[in-house]
Amino acid sequence: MLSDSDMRNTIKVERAKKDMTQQDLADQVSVSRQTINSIEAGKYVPSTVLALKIARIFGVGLEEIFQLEEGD
Amino acid sequence: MLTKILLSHRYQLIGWILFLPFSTLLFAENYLSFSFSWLEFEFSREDGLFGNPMENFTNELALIGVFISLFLIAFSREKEEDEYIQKLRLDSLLLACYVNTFILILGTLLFYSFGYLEFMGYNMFTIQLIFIARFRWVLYKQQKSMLAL
Repeated sequence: MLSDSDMRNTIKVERAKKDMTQQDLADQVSVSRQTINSIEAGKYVPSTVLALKIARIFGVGLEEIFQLEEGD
Repeated sequence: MLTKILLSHRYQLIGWILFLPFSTLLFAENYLSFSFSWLEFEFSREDGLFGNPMENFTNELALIGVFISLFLIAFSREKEEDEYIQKLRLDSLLLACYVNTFILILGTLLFYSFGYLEFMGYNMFTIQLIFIARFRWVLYKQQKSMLAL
């Protein structure tokens, strides 16, 4: 089972590049701000659909945003 | 998707509004022998144990009212119901079932006779109550940690 810290992501960095708030991103992928917050904090691993939506918003490949932690 | 089997968000408020009067009625009926006289009907479920064919349904009304209001509170959609909220929902439901089993075992060891009956009576509500408390608590903590950012 995936534990909470098996995956890291660069959402925060990508958001900063695009000058977006958590709420902006949340609105664009139709989830709550809590969800984005939890993903950034590494507390929640998003579904594939949500991950793909986030990658599309930033216009980069999925693996540029989401990577497995070393050791998996 | 789980959302399809959840009630719409407005039922949550209705649930909270109904919960207080019905739970008050339940306690009043149980401990203060309160009953509505208009709920007395001629009805014999097991014939003539006490020779009185009249039966008062205040207790049934209160129990069903509490069940329904807890159901509405627990299974209404959140304003923004998304996959993360659904994960919290399922986690909370699982936790509630675990705790319920634990309480059930503990109660079976500790109570017997009418005490056990009373315990089982309250135990009917533990899954719903623990679910609601845990789910609400996690959402509240989330909100607070987000505001602190």
